[in-house]
Amino acid sequence: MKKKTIFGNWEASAIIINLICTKIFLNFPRMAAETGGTAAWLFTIFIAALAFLGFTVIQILYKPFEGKDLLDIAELAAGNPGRVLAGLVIILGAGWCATAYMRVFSENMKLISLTTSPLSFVELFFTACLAAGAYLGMEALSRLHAFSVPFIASGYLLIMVGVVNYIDLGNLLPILGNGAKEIFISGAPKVSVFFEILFLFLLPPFLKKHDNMKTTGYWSLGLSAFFLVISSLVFTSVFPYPSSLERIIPIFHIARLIKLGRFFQRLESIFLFIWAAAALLYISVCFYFILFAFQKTFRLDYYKPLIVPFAIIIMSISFIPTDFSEVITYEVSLFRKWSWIAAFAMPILLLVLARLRNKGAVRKGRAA
Amino acid sequence: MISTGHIVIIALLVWVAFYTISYGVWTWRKDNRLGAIMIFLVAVLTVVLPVYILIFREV
Repeated sequence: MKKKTIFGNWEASAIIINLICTKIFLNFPRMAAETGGTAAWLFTIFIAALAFLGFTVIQILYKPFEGKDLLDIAELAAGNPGRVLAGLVIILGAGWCATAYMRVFSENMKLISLTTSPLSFVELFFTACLAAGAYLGMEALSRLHAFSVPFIASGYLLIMVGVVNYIDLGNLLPILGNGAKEIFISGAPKVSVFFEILFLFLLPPFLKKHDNMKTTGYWSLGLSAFFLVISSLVFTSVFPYPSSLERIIPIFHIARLIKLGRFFQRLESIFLFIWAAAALLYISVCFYFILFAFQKTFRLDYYKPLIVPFAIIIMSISFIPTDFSEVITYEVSLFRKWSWIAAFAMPILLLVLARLRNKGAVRKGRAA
Repeated sequence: MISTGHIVIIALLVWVAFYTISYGVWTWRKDNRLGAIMIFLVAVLTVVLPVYILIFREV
């Protein structure tokens, strides 16, 4: 008999927190500064509130579908075509996350510490790790997250606290930064920063009860919002706007500032450690979700024979952009502008359709 | 210019693609046509994408 994997709220929360917050190490603080100016922190609070609102609507609609993931719901809502379409959207979303982050993290790793190594060599390590993660499965990945995320969060908070001497609250003025219109209207689609919440809707079969999904969602969104707000607040208060926009790897630049006496210097080594750990976990989970969605969408019996082919495809696609600034451009101006449709609008639409069809089926049953 | 290293990599890719195709054939025989077609597509991409990257992008 096939063993059913079940894990707790903390494991699931750790996965979602890492998925949402890894972008802090990449480009999130700079993106927030680009949109909100000196009010990057206000912009972050605003998009977090929108994500909370979206999740609240989804979790209310989700109540009758306990233990069912988004692909099951897509099938209930629109039959096989619905399941295939929703599956392809999830595969493409997870695929973009895995390829883009693999390329950007490898480039940054090469830029900071592995300066003479070829990019393909750096990416090979990421590829080996994601293949190993997918081979071990969701249970191993969830346990690994539950263990690693507290260390990553502590290292990150240590960096944020360490730079407290450099904080100048005057850098946060004017309080509305680039203007209310820029933050609250043009900035609203950037709720896509929380795109990874979509993967929570693939976890209900592992979480079983609706209450577990609800608790996991609120905890992971709350903690992620806290970490994102801290990052944008510290970044904009340490580096004055607009010179803050010149920092390619924001948290790395913050970590380099830390000097606590003679013995606590060059704390960017901590940054490198937590950065690599967060990136590896992020890419491994995205890769697992590609395989999971592919298996479920096309009703395959096994996903393990597809690990190596998909790893090769992901690695190859990550080489297609000419440089990592091209990836960041697509990430910020395309993916983080429109992916809210897949993360929030698509689940709401599918859940509404599934509920309507459910009601129709119940009425037909009563009439018969 | 294709080097010996490239030939070794391409041989490995073809081997992975054959393994994937055999899984596709098994799925086809279980009457899951759409699943099998998608697996065949994955097998093709497993060879085409890396070869494009190796030869045209010279990574």
